[in-house]
Amino acid sequence: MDRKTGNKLVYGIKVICVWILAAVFLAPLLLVVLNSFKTKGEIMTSAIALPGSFYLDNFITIVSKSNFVSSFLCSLFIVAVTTSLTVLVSAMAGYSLAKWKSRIAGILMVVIMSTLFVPFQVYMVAMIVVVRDLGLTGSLLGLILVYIALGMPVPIFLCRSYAVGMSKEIEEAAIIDGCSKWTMFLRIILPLMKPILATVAVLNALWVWGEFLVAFLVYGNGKPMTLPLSQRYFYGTYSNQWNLILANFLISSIPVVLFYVVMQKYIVKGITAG
Amino acid sequence: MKKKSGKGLALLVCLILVCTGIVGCGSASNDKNPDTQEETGGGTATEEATATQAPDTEEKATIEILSLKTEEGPQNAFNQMFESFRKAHPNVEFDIQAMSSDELKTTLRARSASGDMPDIITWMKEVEPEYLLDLSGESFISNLNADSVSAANAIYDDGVYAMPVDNGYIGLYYNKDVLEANGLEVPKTVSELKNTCEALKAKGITPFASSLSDLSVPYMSLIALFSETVFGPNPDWSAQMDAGEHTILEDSGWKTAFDLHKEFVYGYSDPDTAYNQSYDDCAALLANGEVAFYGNGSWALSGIRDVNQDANIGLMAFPVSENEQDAKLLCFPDTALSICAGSENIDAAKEFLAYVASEEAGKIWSENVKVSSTVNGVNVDYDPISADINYYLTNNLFTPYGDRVLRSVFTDKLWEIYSYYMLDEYDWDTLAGELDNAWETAIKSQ
Amino acid sequence: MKKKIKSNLFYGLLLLPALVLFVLFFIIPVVQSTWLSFTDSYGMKSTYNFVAFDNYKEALRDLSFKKTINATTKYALLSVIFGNILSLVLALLLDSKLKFKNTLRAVFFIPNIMSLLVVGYIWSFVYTSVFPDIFTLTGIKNFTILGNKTLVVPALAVVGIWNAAGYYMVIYIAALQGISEDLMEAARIDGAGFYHLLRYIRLPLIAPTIFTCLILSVAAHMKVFELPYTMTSGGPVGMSTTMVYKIYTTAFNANRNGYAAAQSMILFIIIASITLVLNYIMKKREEKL
Repeated sequence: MDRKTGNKLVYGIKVICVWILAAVFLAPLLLVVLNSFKTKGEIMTSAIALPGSFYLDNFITIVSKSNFVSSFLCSLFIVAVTTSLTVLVSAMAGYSLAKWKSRIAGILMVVIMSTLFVPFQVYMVAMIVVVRDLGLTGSLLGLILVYIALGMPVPIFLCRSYAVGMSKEIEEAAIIDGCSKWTMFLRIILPLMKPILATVAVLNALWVWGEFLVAFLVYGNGKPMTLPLSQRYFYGTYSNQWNLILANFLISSIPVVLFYVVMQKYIVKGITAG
Repeated sequence: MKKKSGKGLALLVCLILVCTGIVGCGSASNDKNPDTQEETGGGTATEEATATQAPDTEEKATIEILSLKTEEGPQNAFNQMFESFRKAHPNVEFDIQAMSSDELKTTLRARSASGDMPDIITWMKEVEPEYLLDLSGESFISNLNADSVSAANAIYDDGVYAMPVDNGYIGLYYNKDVLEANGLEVPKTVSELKNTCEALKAKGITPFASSLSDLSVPYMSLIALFSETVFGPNPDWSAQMDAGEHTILEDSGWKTAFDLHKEFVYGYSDPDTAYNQSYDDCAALLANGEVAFYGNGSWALSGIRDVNQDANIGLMAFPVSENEQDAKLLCFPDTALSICAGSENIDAAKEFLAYVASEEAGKIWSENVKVSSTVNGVNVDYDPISADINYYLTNNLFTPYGDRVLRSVFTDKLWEIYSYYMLDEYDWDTLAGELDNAWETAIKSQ
Repeated sequence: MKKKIKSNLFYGLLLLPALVLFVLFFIIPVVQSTWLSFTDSYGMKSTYNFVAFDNYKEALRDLSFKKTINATTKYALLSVIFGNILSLVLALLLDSKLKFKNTLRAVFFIPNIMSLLVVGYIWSFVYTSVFPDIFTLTGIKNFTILGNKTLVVPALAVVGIWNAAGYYMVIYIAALQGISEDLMEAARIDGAGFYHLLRYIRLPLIAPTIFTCLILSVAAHMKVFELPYTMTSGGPVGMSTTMVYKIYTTAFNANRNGYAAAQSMILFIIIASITLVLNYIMKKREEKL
């Protein structure tokens, strides 16, 4: 009896703690929602008051001025292609790094992880020159290749740890069955890695969706623009039009949030399984 | 088993196809001319496409412009000019992108490194002359005010790399209504300014609008001040400094500029709220008569007018002494256009600049951007404030050198530490010592 | 022997696409940038001279650069320590039986979906528009958080933690779920309370994950750029100028590419050494077990 009430108390405290934290985390986002329905004047008077009326002009301005629809579709296309290729490339590399008993693999792992320590700003100009030398400036292909290259390290890392934990017996059984190594990889290993690949895909897609700097430098004024590129219109040097900026954040975040909610179970599953 | 590995191969082929597909898609959307698109994979498709395009399009050209004018006024002006230009040159298309100066700097750095400069840019001092086309001798340059042209190219030993479009200024905006309502005159000297500020403060009115979160706001006032105290009396100061004849530490002009800046721009603003105020907020404070003074440049005017079209404001040079004649307005060529040396559309680009130098274009620009044009004969009454500016210009009470003639290593340091002095982090010796060092580093590294 | 070659070929080919992209878009640019750190490369000039270690010597003498090391370390320490504690607490809370568990996980993860630039814009709105209104409402004397020399770095750290907490939380949840339920149940039957379970079973078992998260978060937070860029321009009086922000202004405002490259190399060395130390501690600990 005693223990039960104790448990209930603990549970109660837990619930309260977690909801307070959740409220703190959500507050800034709620402010974004709130203020994106206000006029510029209303925000200046008070940032925390409720909007006077259901003011939708901010959204209309954004959709009409920033080619929202075509940018949206362009971003969708880039995310789809980049993410599927990143997943494939990292699965291959991660598996190889996990199973290849060679010194090269060890060294490569260290080098790939070192990307985490080098800020992008450091090598971005030199990278643009490479992109140009390959004749890829302003092309979607160039952008996608760079996205794969820059987005790869953590996925490779995750795939590798996952593959290390996979039992050897399955592979051996497959080889004895007469499978070629390639068939084994495609038909047995890849499906086995599904949970981690789903995780990697979700994290990668979220990153690509919101990425601005690389797109700006590599893809530049290519058309159609990606969503973050088209949003740049609102962040001009001197335009602190909070009503528009916040409304812009709101509509561009909705698809990602929905995507995350749908895919959420994979994220935890993938990392757990690894 | 064979069948299965065939599948793997098929996948690989698919991948390659996808990749080539993207090249096609990317470059096709790029040059808007899918007919000349070659069906080759690999990265060179874009270049080949443009190359094959050349023969049958002798007059067709798409001029790419990168501009740092993100505000609506200049964007409208550009669009009107394009439209009007295309009436006479229907084969020329324009592709303009406006971005912040930070973004433009980054973009140009990357694109110059990769040999892929646009056709026309809004001039920045960071762009080395090797990337720009020398426009000296072009007939359209003579349509422009000669002083503006030479001031715009002051940092070059010779040659005309920048074609100035408008003349900007940095000065002190004041709200006439606020002064009048409190029975105050427009101050003409430092002590008058001080008395005015004290009087306003006594009535609970904040004299100056300032921002501390956007450090570009107080920085503009500082530029105006040192232009008046250092370069106003001695236009050759920089050259003498290079020759080792001055130090900032012992220069009373610099000291005065920093002290006035600290005393007025910072001291008579409301430091408690300055961190929460943006550039736009400051414009609004002046326009709505919540403050009396606001130091900034010509570009701030449209923001002020956006808030209050009928704000009763004037513009003056910062008083820097007890002599009214020492107050000289900082006037300088602001927006300038340059053609990039590697442009493939040099002829079309020149045609366009010639158009920009015409009276028609000068008017369009002046009306939309609310600045005075550099085109001879264009005199648009773009704002009541233009009378104030004309007063300084016609009485020869102006100085043409802002921070643009200073080397960027030095201005970067100035930008980094100027606020240390006004916020009491640095005393004068420390500040001036670091600035002197930065000047030396600047000479060495540039 | 033939089999060995074949197997090497297989693994090599699997690695190939990643390797090609990696060399093209990372190794080559980084090597070039490293080379720049030994030159006086300036702005858009196409020619430059070799200056050996001059840039490094200057960086070690440059007071304002040293100041950025301080600011960055302070920011990273706060964000890494409190961020990981918060993520771990969240993970422990959300790993247990709780209603709306999935919704709550989403709530904590959402800030991580947004790019840091967007996060910076949102929070500068919060700090400069929302807090002043709250202060007025509650009658507290108006003071400015981002303008306060002591508060500015913690204020940025709050944003960094807000943004990253959900990410590490997910990793911790994953690790906690990996602990076998049997073990926990056995301990409970032995009378272990919440604290004992945590101290002697859960924390030791997820120690490798804690180290991984520490390494990842050190690397991420030491590289912070977007927050000072969007929120403070490095101020007041340079208190929030982080190393990458400084590198950025050196390269793009002062135009000194060579010097900026040297500053980046120093940053890289700092991050790498912290990581090595953490790795060393982790290895030592594993050996003990």
